[in-house]
Amino acid sequence: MRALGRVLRAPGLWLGLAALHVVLAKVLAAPVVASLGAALQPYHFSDRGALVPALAELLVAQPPVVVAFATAWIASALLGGLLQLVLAGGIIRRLAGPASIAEMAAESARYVPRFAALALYGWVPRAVVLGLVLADPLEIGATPRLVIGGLGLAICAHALELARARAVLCGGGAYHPRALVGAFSAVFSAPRRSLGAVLLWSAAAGLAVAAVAVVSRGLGYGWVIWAARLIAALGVGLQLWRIAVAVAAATGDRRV
Amino acid sequence: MAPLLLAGLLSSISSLGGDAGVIGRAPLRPREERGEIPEEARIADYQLEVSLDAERHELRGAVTVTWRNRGREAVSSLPFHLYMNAFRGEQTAWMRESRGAHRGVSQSGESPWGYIDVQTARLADSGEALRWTFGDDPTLMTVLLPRPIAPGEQVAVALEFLTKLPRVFARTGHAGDFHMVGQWYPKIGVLDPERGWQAHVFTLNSEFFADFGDYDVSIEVPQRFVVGASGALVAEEALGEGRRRLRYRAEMVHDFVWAADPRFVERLVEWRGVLLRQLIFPERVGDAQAHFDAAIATLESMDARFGAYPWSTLTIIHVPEDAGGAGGMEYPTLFTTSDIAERSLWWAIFGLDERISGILTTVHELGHQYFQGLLASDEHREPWLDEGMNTFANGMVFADWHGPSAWVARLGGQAISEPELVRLSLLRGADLDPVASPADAFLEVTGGYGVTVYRKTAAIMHTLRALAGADAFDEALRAYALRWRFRHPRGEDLEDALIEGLGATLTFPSGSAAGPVHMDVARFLEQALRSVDVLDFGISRVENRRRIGDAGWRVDEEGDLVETPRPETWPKLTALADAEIEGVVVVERRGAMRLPVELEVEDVHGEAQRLTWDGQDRYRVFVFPGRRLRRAELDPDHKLVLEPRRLDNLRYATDQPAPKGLTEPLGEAAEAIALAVLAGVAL
Ligand SMILES: [Zn+2]
Repeated sequence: MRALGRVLRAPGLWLGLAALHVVLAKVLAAPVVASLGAALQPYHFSDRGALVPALAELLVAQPPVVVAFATAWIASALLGGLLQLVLAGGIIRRLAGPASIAEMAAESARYVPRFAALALYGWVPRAVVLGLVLADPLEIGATPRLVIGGLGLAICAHALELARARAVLCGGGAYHPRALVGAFSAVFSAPRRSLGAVLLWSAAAGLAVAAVAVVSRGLGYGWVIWAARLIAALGVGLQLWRIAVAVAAATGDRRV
Repeated sequence: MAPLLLAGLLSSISSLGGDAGVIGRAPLRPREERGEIPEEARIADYQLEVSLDAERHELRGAVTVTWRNRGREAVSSLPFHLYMNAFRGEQTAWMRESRGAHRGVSQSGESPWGYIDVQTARLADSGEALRWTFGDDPTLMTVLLPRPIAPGEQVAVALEFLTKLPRVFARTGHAGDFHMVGQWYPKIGVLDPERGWQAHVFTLNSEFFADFGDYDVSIEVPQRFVVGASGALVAEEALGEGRRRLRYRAEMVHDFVWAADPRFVERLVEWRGVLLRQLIFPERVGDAQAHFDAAIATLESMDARFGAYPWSTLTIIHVPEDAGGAGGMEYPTLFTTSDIAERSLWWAIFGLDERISGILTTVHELGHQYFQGLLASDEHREPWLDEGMNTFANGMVFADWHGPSAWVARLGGQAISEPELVRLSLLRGADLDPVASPADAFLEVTGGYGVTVYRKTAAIMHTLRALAGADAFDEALRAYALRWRFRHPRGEDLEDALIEGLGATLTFPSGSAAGPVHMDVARFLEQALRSVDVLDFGISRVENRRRIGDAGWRVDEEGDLVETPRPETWPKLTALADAEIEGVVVVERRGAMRLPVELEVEDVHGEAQRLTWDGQDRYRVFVFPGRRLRRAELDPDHKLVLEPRRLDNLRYATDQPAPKGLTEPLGEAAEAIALAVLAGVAL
């Protein structure tokens, strides 16, 4: 729970990041709203219980609306990846101990190139995991593939986090791939800690699925967006906790 | 529903297995349940003997057709359909149009072809050999008679044939051990007293047309095969050498098919004296009850709406995965269905559900027992009479089964009903050919057949039902169904029945001083069925404006010119009292189809008013003195299922705030998913 303590001692970080996500999502969805509004102009639709046929009719008449939806979601994924790169240095610094916003910003900026290199290397093991899961050479079926794929990606994520935390807190070159290789060996040499990180990753992924499920189950209801925001805030907390596990590990490493 | 519970109970005792309780049923329900069957409906009786070579997928058969001349003139030749020859090679009419694909399933394998080869033809009584000829296409053969058959006389012709089943891709054929034996024997055409012989070359979209009669069929198969067939099993005998013979009898039907597969598992259930027999594969056996429930709901609905189901058996055949082309096809007292989509955990998580896969197939194919099985219209000449009317009836089945707002697909709280699905399908391809076109007028490349024949017909009927009132419409359609069972109704017979039942003119209160609005039912049917005119209304303007006042010079009571001063600027609308305002609505007929349509206007105080516009002119301006309007909506009760574009039916007044009914929830959904992606990927 030492890792969780690090998150709870930084409530501003958590809330700030959650708010940032909420705002960015609103911005990302704005073109969708505009495109829907333009497609429907000058007419109106009032039956929130019959959205599916209305959307179907709209999409047949105005296929570009689909592009607006797809663009918003692809942009979210890209922006999510970018945020990971840009904010990680500051987040690690803050989870390691008190730091001002200026310090965090400086740390973030300093590590962007190094983390970009790490992120690039990080895609190699991820690609192997995804390739194996998609190719399914052992024909193990959908559910085991999902579990194994999730486990693999979670381990990759933890290794990457560990490599980043070590780079910020212990110094050392993150440009060389061996920084990631070293992190992987640390992942496997501390299985209990890694299991915790994997569980946190899975819980965060589960929350993302839950948010989509809330949308599909509650489509048309006003509470959907607030439920999604709440889930996203929890998700941000879990992600911070996951990073804090890596930070605790890196700090521990330094002590040793 | 109680009958469904009963079905569940009964099915649990259905594991009697084998053929216990199955052999020896009378093929028809008792007369007091099924009603009278007119003797003159029986025209062509078939006695068939067939043996299956399951390795070569070949049938050796002999048929004796006894045909009665109920026409007005003597007949000296008999046309026979040889449907199986459609699959003989690339050059047949069927293959030329289909290019080797049917409903998305393509012909596959090295030798996928099938054919029927008639080897001998004789008069059954004398044994005298008969000659036969072919025209351009091998699916039609003419047997020449030595002497004419006078009206009222009958002739019995005996033919021997060899049928090679194709690799199944379009209804009939084999896939491994699975054999779907349809369109497998020579079938005589229909002699129409007015139009002469109705026997068409078999083409892609044309299905079948035949006279009613009794079938006595002996089928010889390897012992290990489980067989499902039209009619009732009346005898079974082991022949030795691993083979057995099954004898079936079907009465007052117009075709006979059978299916055989060693893997079939049998499930039985009884519904009001009708034996429902399902042959399903072991891996899908868990779905059997859902199909029975759908079948019984369909029987309940259609038996009540269109008269008693007359036969004592109904067989539901499942097809294996590699024989999907055989699924979803109707034959007398037997149909093939399709699999219910497998539900995964994700369906539960995302709140997804549907009644389309499997369930709708069972509802639809069973529905054909009425629309074509019993009301035996010409599927080649007027395919809308069976496919379209059946599609309409399917919507009624769901409403009877699950209530008026029954859904066929659902995502969380959002649902879509069968008529709504029908309406949306009209958005593409429904305006190329008139509904009342023959099957071969629809070209595969246009993709218009399904949407026009099935869905547009159904939309026409849903619309007419909503306009005329459900009770009157249902009664009219019931009268049609009762009058024409065991006969060959034509389109005009259905139209006559509707006009007779509903009256020639429907009358609606206009809701204004203009007097009632009238709708000519015959003209509606003419336009809906025989033109490609589209139904589309829209609201082109809703606004509030200042009423004309008395500013300027006018002559007063004394004959003097007096001036009422005009203000420097007219006051803003918001500053005017309601009495000084008039609401204006302009409605437009955007499609060529003319139909009365309701308009509902609501003022800012929430007071609503309904009017009916006859929809004849291109547009109509409605003025509401003294009312400040908030909104106007066309077809507020969604009666016009025939109108595919409905988003232009609601508009708010230019000076009134409008709800973000579509943009807000969908925009928020987009935002919520963006948030999930963002938070899932970020950090
Ligand atoms: Zn059909």
